[in-house]
Amino acid sequence: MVLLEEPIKEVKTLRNYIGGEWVDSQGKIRDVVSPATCKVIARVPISIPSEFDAAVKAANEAFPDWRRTPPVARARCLFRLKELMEQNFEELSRIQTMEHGKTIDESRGETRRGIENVEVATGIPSLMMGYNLEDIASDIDEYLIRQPIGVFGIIGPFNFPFMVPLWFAPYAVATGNCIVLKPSSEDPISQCKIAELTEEAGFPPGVWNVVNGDRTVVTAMLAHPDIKGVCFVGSTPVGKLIYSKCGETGKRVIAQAGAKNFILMMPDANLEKTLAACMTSFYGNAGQRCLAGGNLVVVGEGLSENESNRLYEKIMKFYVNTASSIRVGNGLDDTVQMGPLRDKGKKENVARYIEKGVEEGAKLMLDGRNIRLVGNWPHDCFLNPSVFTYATPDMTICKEEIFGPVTSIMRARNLDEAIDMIHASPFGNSAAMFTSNGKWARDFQYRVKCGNIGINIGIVAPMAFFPFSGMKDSFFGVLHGQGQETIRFFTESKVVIQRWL
Amino acid sequence: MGEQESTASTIISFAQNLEEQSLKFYEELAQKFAEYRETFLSFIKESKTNKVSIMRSYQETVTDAFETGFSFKGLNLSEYAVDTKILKNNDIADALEKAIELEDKTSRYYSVVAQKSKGLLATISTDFARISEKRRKRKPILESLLAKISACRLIK
Repeated sequence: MVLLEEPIKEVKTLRNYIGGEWVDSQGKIRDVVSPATCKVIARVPISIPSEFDAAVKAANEAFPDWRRTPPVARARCLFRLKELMEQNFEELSRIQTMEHGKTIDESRGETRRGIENVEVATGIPSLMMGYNLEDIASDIDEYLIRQPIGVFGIIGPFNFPFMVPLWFAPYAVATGNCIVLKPSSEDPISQCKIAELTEEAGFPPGVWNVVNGDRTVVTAMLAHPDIKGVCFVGSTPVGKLIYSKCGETGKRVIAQAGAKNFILMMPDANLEKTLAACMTSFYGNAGQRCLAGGNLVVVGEGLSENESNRLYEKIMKFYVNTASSIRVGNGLDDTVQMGPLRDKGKKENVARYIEKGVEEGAKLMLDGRNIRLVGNWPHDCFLNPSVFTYATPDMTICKEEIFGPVTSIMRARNLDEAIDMIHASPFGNSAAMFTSNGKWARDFQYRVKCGNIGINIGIVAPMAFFPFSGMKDSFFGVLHGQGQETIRFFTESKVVIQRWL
Repeated sequence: MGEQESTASTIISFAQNLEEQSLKFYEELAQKFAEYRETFLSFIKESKTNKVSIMRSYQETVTDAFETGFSFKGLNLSEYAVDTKILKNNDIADALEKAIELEDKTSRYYSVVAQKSKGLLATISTDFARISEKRRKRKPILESLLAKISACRLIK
């Protein structure tokens, strides 16, 4: 076992980035612990409301000049940021592995996905264009222009500490707004590193601000009259709260929330390829993502009961065998396929779900609580993959978001029954089907009420130039993150009707 | 674990090491056997480009949609390991034989990983295939050098 070199060499106390200055916080300090080694890798301040207010003030002061900066000049700042991210690609990726625990391949994937959003936002001179029509009446022309709004707040989640804030931040500043970003206090290092790069890229002071902290900062953000909108990715209860608070104060909001994603395996699916996709879907990022597979439904469409039983048994065996061979360990060992959970509490929460699954009668075919690691690491945050079979829709493990490496394999007699199962869930983030049958695929895509649909795709992650969708309890708001929709979110549409007398 | 499985990162690291090893090997040959220097220098230049393009392709295509951890089944990396150590008493013919083995295994490695990465994202597979072809083309060059040397020896 060879570990890649760690980019974090000493334990530093992070600072806030406000008005182009790195500022010490007066708030309490918490340790940032690497889940694979349980070592402290940084210290993060839990900023106090006045520090958040100072960031909003700086952003507000920067806004008038920044909005007047030509879009092409704003885009050049983003081009430089992209280039700096490319130059620091490996360091940024390894930081994510250290602070979050994910494997190095996953971190590099996350870095790329983040950079792609910066790339898309560099197209702002085209993306932000309005439209017009001559002679809407005699000698009267009408046109639409998009204008920035002011200061936006961004709340980052722990599971994608680098990428998710970049679903919003590049578009916000590209359109001429300023931002105050609060990274997750569990893994804030990536965002502090990005702020360093924005400084180097030449963003004017106050355009891009970072305030570390916890719910105190979020509360201040939601109440602040100068925050015009909030972008959030996290759990459903918090998403709902943010949505309602923003409604009360008239703020725009994108709140992308929890999920319980179904993957349907049809009888004609390519077993080997489907299972490879399922492994990444269910166990990638140790199951800590809103696009993670939760329930695998083996659909017996067109099969007799005996055939359906045989198919289920076959998939079950193959699945358990594949999942049990996943190598778990420190993500900086590049042979490892799954890292730890972000912290001990999260691991314990997943373990409670496993216990609940057993209590409610599902068959635990693979118990991830029996920890087998590549290398000698403290077990505190690790779980191996778990697989439940004979799981039914009424069980807690099939209904709630576990956010850990657990698969529940279920059965449906036919496609209608499988789609009913999906619709019984309060969530609507993503759903996928594995099949070679175009008719089934089309039917699935057409009927299923989920924001992101995969056909033979395990992780339905939209690229930066498409919105990251979501429905039902998985999304609160109107416009989604990424791509064109984000441009709409961050701008006001102003219509001008003009006649020269 | 059951069937051998390699992560994308391992595949890329292995390719990078192969290019690095090739680079050093041909640098040594270029120093030691000056009459064939130009050929070896062209290989060195090519390996430097390969190293950069492999890393660039990987970094540009590795995303969380890329089934990185589970896509390289049944690949035994030790099959492609090559000994490129030049001993003191090795002459040019010995060195060329090692070079032919190196090119043969390296080309096969790239060809296999190009196949296995086909269903993922296009550019990485295309890059592997292109480099495999480039490395495959070195083999006849080395073989003809070796044949020339052997022929000279026979005449002497």
